[in-house]
Amino acid sequence: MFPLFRALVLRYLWQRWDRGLLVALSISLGVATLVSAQMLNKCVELAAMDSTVPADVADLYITNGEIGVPWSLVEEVKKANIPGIKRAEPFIIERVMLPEINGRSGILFGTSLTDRTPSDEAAADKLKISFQLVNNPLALIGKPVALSRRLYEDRKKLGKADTDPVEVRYTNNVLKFNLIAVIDIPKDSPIAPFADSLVAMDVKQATVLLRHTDLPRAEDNDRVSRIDFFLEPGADVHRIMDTLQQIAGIRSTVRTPEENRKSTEEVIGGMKIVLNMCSLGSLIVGLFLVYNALSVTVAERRHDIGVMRSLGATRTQIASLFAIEAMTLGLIGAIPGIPLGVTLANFAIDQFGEEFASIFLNGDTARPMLDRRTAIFAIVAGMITSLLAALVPAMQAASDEPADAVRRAPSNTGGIMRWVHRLACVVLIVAGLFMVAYREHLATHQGSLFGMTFVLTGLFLAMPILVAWMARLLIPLCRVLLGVESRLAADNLLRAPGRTGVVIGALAAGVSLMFQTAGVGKSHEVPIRQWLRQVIQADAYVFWGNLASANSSMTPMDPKIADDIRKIEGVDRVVGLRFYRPEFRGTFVMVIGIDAADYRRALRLRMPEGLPKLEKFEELPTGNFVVVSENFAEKWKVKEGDTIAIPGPHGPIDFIIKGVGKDYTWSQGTIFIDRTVFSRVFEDRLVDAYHVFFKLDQDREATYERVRTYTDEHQLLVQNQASVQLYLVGVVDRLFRVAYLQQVVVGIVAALGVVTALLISVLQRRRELGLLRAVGATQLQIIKSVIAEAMLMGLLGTALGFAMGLPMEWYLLNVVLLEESGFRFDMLIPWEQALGIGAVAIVTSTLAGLIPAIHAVRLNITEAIAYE
Amino acid sequence: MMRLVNVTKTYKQGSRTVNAVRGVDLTVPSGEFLAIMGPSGSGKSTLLHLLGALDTPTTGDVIFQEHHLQKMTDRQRSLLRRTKIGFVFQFFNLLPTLKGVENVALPLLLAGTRRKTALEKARVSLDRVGMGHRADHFPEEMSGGEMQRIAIARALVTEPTAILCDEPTGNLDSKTSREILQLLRSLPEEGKCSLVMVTHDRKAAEYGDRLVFIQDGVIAHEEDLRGVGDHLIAASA
Repeated sequence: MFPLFRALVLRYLWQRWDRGLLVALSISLGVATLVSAQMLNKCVELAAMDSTVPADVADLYITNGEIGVPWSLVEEVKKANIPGIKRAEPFIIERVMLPEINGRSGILFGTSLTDRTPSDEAAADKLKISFQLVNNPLALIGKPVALSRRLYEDRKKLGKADTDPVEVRYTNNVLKFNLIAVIDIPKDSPIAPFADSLVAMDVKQATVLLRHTDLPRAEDNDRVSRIDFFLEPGADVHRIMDTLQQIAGIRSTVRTPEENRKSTEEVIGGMKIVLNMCSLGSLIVGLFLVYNALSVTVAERRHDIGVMRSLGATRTQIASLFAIEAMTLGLIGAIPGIPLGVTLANFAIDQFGEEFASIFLNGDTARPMLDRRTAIFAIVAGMITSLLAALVPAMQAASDEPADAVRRAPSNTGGIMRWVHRLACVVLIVAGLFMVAYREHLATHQGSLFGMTFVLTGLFLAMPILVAWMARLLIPLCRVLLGVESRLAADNLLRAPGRTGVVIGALAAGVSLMFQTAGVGKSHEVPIRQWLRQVIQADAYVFWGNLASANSSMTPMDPKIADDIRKIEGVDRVVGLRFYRPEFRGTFVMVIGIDAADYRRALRLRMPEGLPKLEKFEELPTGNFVVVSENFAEKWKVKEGDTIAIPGPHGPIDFIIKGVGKDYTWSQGTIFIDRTVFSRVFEDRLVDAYHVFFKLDQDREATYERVRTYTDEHQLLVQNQASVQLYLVGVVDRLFRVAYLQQVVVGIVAALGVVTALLISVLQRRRELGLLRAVGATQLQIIKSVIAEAMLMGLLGTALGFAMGLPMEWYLLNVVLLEESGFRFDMLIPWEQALGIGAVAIVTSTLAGLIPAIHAVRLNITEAIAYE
Repeated sequence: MMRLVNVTKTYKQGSRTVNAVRGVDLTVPSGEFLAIMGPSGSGKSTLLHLLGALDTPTTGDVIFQEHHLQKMTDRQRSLLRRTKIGFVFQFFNLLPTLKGVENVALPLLLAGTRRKTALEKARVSLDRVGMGHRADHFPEEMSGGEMQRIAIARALVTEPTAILCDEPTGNLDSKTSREILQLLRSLPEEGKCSLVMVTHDRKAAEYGDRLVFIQDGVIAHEEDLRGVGDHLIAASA
């Protein structure tokens, strides 16, 4: 087969490189979005897993979300001496600050560092790390600490000797440790993401560092992040789990590593599916364009196929040649698609560097990485897409009767293919609608998202039929309104809906995706901005770390800071906020401990009209009461008066819902608790951010300067209202910028399709255009006719795109996103953006017509007329 | 030997049914040069396609060396064309993306012959038709006569038992036509190869051994041409 492939396929591709290039580019862009989606998914998944389940090498875990596991449970479990457990190891992971290394943040691992046994070495083996002891005699008598190689080198560059104490800070606790070893973490280690920032110490020392010293008998409240269990080979896992759960009772949960990962996957599952759907969309658009190009290749080479058949080529040989040609183009397209995808993924991550670092423990080091599996997957996907696209044209080529092909008689296969085509459209659309209608019986996301994909693919496939109808409607209009060139263009659309329909479909898909993104963006942006204006009312925001981490529980502050700030002249109220993400019904929800009454009163002064949920805040300090966000109520089907249970340090704690209000903080739902209640029930008095309200009759700028002086003295940061609003609006903008980027890629694929289709149109119309020239048509008239066809395709594609985009926006807002997050948004139509998208689509397709138009006027009239 | 027994062929042209061939009986013995003439649309090309296993009859029997074509699968017919039949068309039907030698080698490549062997055999075939010097040129660089010689070399490369020509001189000037006909005349060989040529041109037909005249899908009459074209052959020589 190879000599035949070399003689026929490679030679054809070499000579018709422009057509091959367009097909390869379409595949390239599709593969690029696929690669970027895969890389982003993997990057976020790894970052999330490393944050929630770091050093995931144990056989079983006892966990309790962010609140942690009480130290007392560690001792109880150890005392129980359960058969089958080789070792139980308490483990702490927390973000800390290293004041002596330019105040950079580090990731603290509290683990057994000093009393290592041979079985501990086994755990170290699983982590693939090695320790290199340093020459520091003080380490034997003081509190030892080990640093990752990178931290150690950075420290050394700052002139620190091994014997100098290592300062580690958590909130206001600053403890000094003695360096005992340097940790080498290879790239394939499960804790590789922490290679730049790891600070390892004995778990008991870590509890001292993290201790809430302001609590009475603080040491009784020591907690660890989790307890890891390493089991004997062949141990009965289920029996051990039952025994451990009996000991832990309601205080914590015993989990296998798989169960532990599941809750995290639940939170990022929606995002992963959306990214995958985007890349799938691009590949589908690419698939149809490749199909289009290959169909035309078949049509163009039909006579050659006839000749080959007359020379003895079998149907299988003909079909195989086209399939191999398609796969070759798929391979050629997929290879450059991979680096392009890497660039796209890096661009997307660069947009969210700060937020990423604040959400995930390893966020500052997590980068999208291309692994061999993704690269192979991308190449295979590119080739399979091309192969799928080639199936129908290859079958058409093979099914043609050689005598018909040689004498250029019309093919008889059209009738059957037409019915197969119609049937496929109906089946896809009906199957998609069924999936949507019965989505509750299918796995999460499958019905709503895959159903939509089926319907869209069916509509896309039906595009030639729709285009033929629309062209029929357009022709009488063109006859009345337009010149002969446009009438010819409209006639051409009607005559070849199979060719133009696919491209118009691709254009419509691009326009509808952009329209839908713009619509969803506007429907989110307007209420979110309005909400931000309502809740960002304080005059100053005090936090530690950076603005992004202020909204997480990563960089807490001492609660006494509030008392200091309150004393500053001009300050009216200081509202502390503490964030906590406990597990709730299999996923993580956001709990915000807030000085509720203070917050309500401060806001009331600035917004006399008030906010519905705010009034309920006044009741929160009086008991175990909460106000929940609308999306929480929607997602978890709860209402005012219901009781919900949230995991606490000693077991689940019941709260009564006092009110439901608008809040867009967290996609899985937000719960507001008064901070005094929060401190009592969760035994946590720390604060992540302070909203500082100034007295209205005081000079704001002067007060702000006084607050700044205080924060500078205490190594804290302060921002004013405008900069916080600007920052948060920027986050929303960047989120949609990434979404738009994906859609622009689809748009480019569609524009490439227009060029291909029009080039092909000129080839197909060669004889007709030659005849027109022969009977006196000028070059300008030919150019006008080709460009008019391009413009008509642009117009139809845009109109269909808007027609599809509107219901898609509604569907995304009211089905997909509502189910995913519970957020309910009113549908807003993005008129301004629609105008821009429409103009760009029509101008792009018109410009795409220029190349084929120039090609058309260069036709040699006599050759064109002789051409069949 | 090829035989048509009471063969009919109808096909659809839009909503119209065309009876291209109606009850034709015809035998082409081995070594014969048969010419088929008839006006446009008379069914002569359809007849040629039926003989060459490019098409199957609606009714009747097409027998190619004891093989009943209508009983064969599409694959078997493809293999038959590949090994036993050579085609020469009016518009040469060379693949524009292949060089002359590659066009000639194509049937061998389709049969799975190694490229090197196929190209060697193709060059021998090109030498036979006097086109060895144009082997590495693309069709667009050749004259009509050269392209038709390449097409004949392609038809000969598998050493077929039947060569079927559809208006092989229809697109050539008279001098080149004579050269091509002279070449074709030299191909049929008793016990080895027969040749069937469809033509509009009476003079071209006179190069053959026998003429069958087709009108409205039936054989209107036959003529024995042995000796008739000797003067033409002598003039060409």
